[in-house]
Amino acid sequence: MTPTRKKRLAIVALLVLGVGAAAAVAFTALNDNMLYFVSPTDVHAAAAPEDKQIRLGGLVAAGSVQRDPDSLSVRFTVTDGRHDVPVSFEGILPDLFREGQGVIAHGRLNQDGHFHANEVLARHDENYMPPEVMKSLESAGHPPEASKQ
Amino acid sequence: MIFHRLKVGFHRLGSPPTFHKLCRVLSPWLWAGFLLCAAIGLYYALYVVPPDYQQGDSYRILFIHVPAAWQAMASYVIMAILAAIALIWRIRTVEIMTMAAAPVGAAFTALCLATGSLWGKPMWGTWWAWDARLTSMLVLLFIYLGIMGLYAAFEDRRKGARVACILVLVGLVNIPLIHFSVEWWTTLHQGATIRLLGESRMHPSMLPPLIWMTIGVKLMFGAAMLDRARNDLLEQDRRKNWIRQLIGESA
Amino acid sequence: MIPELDYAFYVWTSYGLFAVIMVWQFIQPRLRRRRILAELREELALQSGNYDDPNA
Repeated sequence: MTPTRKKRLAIVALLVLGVGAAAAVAFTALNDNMLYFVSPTDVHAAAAPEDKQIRLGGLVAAGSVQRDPDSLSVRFTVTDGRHDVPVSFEGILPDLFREGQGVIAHGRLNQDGHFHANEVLARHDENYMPPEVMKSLESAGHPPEASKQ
Repeated sequence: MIFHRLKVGFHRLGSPPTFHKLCRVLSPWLWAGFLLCAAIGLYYALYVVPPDYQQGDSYRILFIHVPAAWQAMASYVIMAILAAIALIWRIRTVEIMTMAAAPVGAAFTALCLATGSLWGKPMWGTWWAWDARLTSMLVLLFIYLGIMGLYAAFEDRRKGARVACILVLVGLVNIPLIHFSVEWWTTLHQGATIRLLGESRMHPSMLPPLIWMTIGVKLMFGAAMLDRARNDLLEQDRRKNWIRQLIGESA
Repeated sequence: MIPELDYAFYVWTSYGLFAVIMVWQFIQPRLRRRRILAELREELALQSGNYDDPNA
């Protein structure tokens, strides 16, 4: 390598490292703003302010879904295994919404710790398998480990 | 000895007529390979693999979405390596190849975003969300478009290529951001299914179409990039003798 | 022959987009190449003096 090329290589390396370092600092500072949702534990730790629109993410607790037969109202509990938050919502739920699956509710938290959602999105995990495989896994008592939320 | 021969080969690629010939010879083979892989992949994806236990048939979008996403990022990494070589050695054919990679990478990024949206609507319940993964992928599309725009804005092609190459290296920071966004922050998008280290989260019966499509789009990227590079070279060298000879032969 | 899928609209639109983008990536450089070559041939013919002016 000629000296000119060595110099250019150093400039290129410095450019990439410099931009990388700047980005690392910027995104560390912006960390909280990069989060799309907060967990029930965050809500309990009062990290989530009341009466402000937030996104609550977690799993729909098994057996918690109650649908009103006369309207689109639905109540369920969002859990992360440590804490639970009761959620109410009126509207059409996505196809993937089901007990034990991930969900993200956008709405407000009441004083009494009740969450009123105006939008509910389903979150799917990273596991893919045919239905028969899932059945045999279940009958063998080895359901796939739930994804971290 | 081997190093010397590699070096000679490398320098010969810098010669426009040799590079033009290489593009012309390689392109049809790469396209043929892509067609073969895509035909096998699509057949597996639509006819052979079983539906998913949660998502039914909608997960078949994955066989387009994931290869497109991987290729969008791989194209960028390849483009950045070429850009570094172009900036250090100032080889014109490498500059041209770098710039030819951008539109193809942009096409894969757009395909990834569009299919992701088409998958998100029925499963998540929304076409779009401003989470870290989706946003960083959109930023990648804008970076690609910015590189193409910057290159086109210069009257002097070589100057344009050099300035755009610097933007390529600056934009490289976005690639780890896309990859790790689902680990560093909470996102609507789920984590990685296929892992280089550790066990993948997809049943082996569903893997063949993913593998075929991934290989297929890699070949296609090479083919489309060489096609574009060849055109750029032709346009830049239109007044040169080797082009005149070339046209004379083919006319 | 065509498999019947759930969410057919979303799946087929995705596969259709894939096909359209791949075809476009194949055709676009070939069209451009044809245009460049036609221009160059015209230029060469002009210089060598055996150019048939279509507007004459």
